[in-house]
Amino acid sequence: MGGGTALPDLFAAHYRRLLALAVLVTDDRATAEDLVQEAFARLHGRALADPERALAYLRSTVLNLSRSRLRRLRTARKHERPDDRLLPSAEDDVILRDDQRAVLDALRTLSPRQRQALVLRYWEDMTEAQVAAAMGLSAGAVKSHTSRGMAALRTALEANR
Amino acid sequence: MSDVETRLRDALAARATTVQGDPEAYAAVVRRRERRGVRRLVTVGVAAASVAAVALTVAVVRPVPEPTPPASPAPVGPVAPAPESFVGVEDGMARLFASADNSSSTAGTLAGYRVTAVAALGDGRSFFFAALKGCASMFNRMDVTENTPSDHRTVAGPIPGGDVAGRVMHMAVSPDGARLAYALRLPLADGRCGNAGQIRVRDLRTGAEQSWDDGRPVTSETSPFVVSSLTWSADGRRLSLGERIAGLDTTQPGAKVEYLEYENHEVPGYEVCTIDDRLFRGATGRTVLLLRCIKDLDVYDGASQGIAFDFDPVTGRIGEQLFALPLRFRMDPWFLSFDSSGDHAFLGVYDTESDPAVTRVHRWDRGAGIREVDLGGKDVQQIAW
Repeated sequence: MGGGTALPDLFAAHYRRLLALAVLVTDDRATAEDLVQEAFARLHGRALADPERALAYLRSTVLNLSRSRLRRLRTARKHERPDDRLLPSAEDDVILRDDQRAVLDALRTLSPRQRQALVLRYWEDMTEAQVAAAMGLSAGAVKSHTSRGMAALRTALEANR
Repeated sequence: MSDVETRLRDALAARATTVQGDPEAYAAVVRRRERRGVRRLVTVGVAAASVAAVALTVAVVRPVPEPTPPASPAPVGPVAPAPESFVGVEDGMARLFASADNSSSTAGTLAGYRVTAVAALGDGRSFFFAALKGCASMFNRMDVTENTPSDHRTVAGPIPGGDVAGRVMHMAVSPDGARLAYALRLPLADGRCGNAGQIRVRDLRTGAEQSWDDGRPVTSETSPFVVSSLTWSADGRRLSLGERIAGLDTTQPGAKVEYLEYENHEVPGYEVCTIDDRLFRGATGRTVLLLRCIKDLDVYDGASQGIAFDFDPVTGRIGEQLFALPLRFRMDPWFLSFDSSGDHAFLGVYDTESDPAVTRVHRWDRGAGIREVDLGGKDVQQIAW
């Protein structure tokens, strides 16, 4: 590795937050762990002269892998009835308030890109330009995903009221 | 800020606080990377507790990594005729299709049951169904007596060994047609289908069964045992399992399902989406095809973005390479089902460019390439033929 930040330091600094990001966009702890570990494994051996760039790379890798994974989960869920679905893990069953659970349920109905855009915007507190860079999209595309995602979220929440 | 935005921030923050890091996670990253030092050949021994020191060896053949359609060392000789029938499953209902024109009729479905898995004997006329009610599965065999565009006739009945408690996820008939392998999600004490799983192999003449599991308890907190495909080896001794690449020695009663580690090759300028790699049943039950997701996105190096999928052959003791399917496409594969000759296949893909995404079915015929087919507007989610 190059003379910049060592991977273990990056891992210690960012693993938990990247894991939380992956959980928020995939809704599955085991998948999230797999994705984040894979992102760090891909960074292993690369020159890490710029820690900020490395973090951006890690975040984008997690998002890209999440999107692929999420598409697959959505396909599976499309073809399943509710009683077919895997039981939630104990951790996934943590006590959240009903209104928080309702928002997370509504978030699951969005497209992967919409969901990622909203998580980056409203959890990572990124600007649209930062979201665009993280997702590898244009700012206009991010604006579209965000506004459509919020509209869909609002509709889903109203439908479940 | 709107009320919905405020609620969204609150919910995301609350969910994020429940996520704790695993102190062993970094060691897992190192192990993952170290495994990649083994470039082409990975040997995984069966767990120490297992009864025999059976080693499964997977040699992943990697052609020159260029982002172009893989060369197809296609089989020589005339193309075998396609089976006259195939079975598709649409939302839990099985349909018998005539290959001649893709016309179909309902097949093998009983009131209150939903078909969860189908398998074909390979002769184009005999099919197996697993159908679910509650968390109990019923097996049926259906033999086609007539299947033309104007006439769909079948006879059906139970198979030896009867029904089973649990949800059958996937099935595969052995190359000699004598055994049916299936992946099962076991029921919990309260009757719901749990996450713990087993692989079972049933003798279709006697109904006798053997089973293998991943050694975990059957509780509501067991993490999922996910099997997305089953593939018999040519000699009928081993099963390969997706969605993680795994192997099972069916000649060993106490053997454990072993997850195999393998290495994707690096494609210059591309990311390999390891997470999406899956195995599909190949031609005549002998080929195991690794679906490789590649993505020309590398923000660290500033490359452009895009996503594509192609198939790599995997060779070794869990499968023998026959040929590489010369496909590359920008849709996410959902199923791939070869006929017994290996000259014909159905490929179900998930069109992620559309919104909402839709599933499209394509048919590949050796020598004729691939084309999208219309199955009468049916949203087919799996096919056996």
